Amino acid sequence: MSVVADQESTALSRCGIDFEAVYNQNVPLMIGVAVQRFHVSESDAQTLAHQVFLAFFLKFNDIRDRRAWFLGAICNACRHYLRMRARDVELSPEIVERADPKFARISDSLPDKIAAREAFGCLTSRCQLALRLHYLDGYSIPEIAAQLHITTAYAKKLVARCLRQARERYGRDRR
Amino acid sequence: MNKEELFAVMEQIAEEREAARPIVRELVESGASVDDIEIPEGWRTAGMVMELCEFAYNHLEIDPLRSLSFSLLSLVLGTDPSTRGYPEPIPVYLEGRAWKEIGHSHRFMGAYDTAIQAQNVAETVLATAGVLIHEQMLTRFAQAGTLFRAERFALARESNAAAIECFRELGDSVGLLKSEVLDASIDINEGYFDVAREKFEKILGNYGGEDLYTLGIAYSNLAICNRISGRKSAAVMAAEHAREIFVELDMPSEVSRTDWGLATILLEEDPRKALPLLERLRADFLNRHMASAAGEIGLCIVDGLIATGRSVAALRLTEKVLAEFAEAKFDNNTMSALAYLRDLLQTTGDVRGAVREARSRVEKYRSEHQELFLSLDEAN
Repeated sequence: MSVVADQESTALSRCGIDFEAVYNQNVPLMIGVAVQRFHVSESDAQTLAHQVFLAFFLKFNDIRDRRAWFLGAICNACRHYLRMRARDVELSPEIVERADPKFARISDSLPDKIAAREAFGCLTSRCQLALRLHYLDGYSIPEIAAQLHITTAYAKKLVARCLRQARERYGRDRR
Repeated sequence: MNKEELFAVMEQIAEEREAARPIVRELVESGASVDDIEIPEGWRTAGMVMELCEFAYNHLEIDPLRSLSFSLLSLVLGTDPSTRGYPEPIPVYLEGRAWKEIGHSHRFMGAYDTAIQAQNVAETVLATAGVLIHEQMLTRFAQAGTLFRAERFALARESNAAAIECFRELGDSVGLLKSEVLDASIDINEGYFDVAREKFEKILGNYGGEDLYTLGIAYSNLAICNRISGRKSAAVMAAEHAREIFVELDMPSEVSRTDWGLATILLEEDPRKALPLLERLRADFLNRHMASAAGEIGLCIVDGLIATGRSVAALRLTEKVLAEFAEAKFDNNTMSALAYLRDLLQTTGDVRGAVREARSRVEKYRSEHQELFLSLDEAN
């Protein structure tokens, strides 16, 4: 099989767009804009340009004016990057030596986190969502009811049932 | 990530989408519920999330409740630890996109506050990745549309203005066209009919084939402007144009919406002829779980029944519509229905009874809504 035929058989090529050509036309341009206009370092500029290209790949069918889109997206990405960078502060030498307080109780918290992740993973789809919304994202029962398009009474029962399901299934899987 | 790694990720997602497509198609064709299912391991991919979202978006017109089920499933998969492992900005995109589709579904079902909440989450998530500015602004535009439907016109215009600026920068001619149509539609609702008509005529004059659906919406809203300004034949012509477009696009609920506009014109001319058409449209929207539109058509039918001297039937239907609005928690619509009810009861001669009845319903409605303000502990 020829190289060309091989390339044509990839899922990417079946999307109906020559991504390689679009990359070559736009990524160097975006890197140039990030470096020259926003004074972003070459390596960070490349990371940003690649992220923009991934964003393009995710919705390429909806993009009409590619050049304007890539330029607009990289400018916004650079502004966002600079805003984030502006919040960074240099650590004093004594702090650099200290351990991150986030990891102070890592031996206690890590098993809990892993257990919670495993417990979520063995639930049905609705239970994963209900427990996540309630316990991780802080949604009230009426808010969960609204988002799931169910009654408040049913949402309350659902959360209780899903907790039971997590306990049973996680316990069963651990045995 | 270098170029080779970037293309490897793209290839992987393209393959996942190809693998997901028949699974989603099968799920749709089976008609089985996807609300509470065991998730097979192979579904936890970015491609699967994207295909579910695509289905949800394309199915809004036909069955928004089914769209909601698929959007919620996409949120579960999109926030799964295994989909968090993709390079940036994919995890952010998946979560934001899923919330955006959840918002769309609620909006189509008339649950505007819930839709706005979902769209807020979507925008907040998407804003964490600067490269997803287009998706973020498309979400803001969608929220502007919801705010418009919820009759919060100042907020709708503000969100729309931000979206317009971004669409211009990104060269999104379709986004711009949609935003211009929404801007003119807000003018109609704020009572600037001539301004709106001029804007619609300009939009239609400059149309360059960007988006047939938005063209249909522009014609449909131009018909409303013309009807309100008393230009009935121009209104019918614009509505007919809109209808042809929506038929061509196979968008049944938009066809019904246009027919609703035509029926409203007919209602003013000949209520007897308009009534069967309105009843058919109300049944159609009820079947599609679009309670807000169904209830509003119900109130149009009440107008027709009153005009034809059938006050008892009008009273019964108003009570039914009021119950539907209250159940779906449509505040503005509930108030309109209550006003109808009060007027109808007054025509029976029992003014005191009418006021008492209306008041008791307002109190019942208010107490049903108090649970929304419960604290977390109380709600539990």
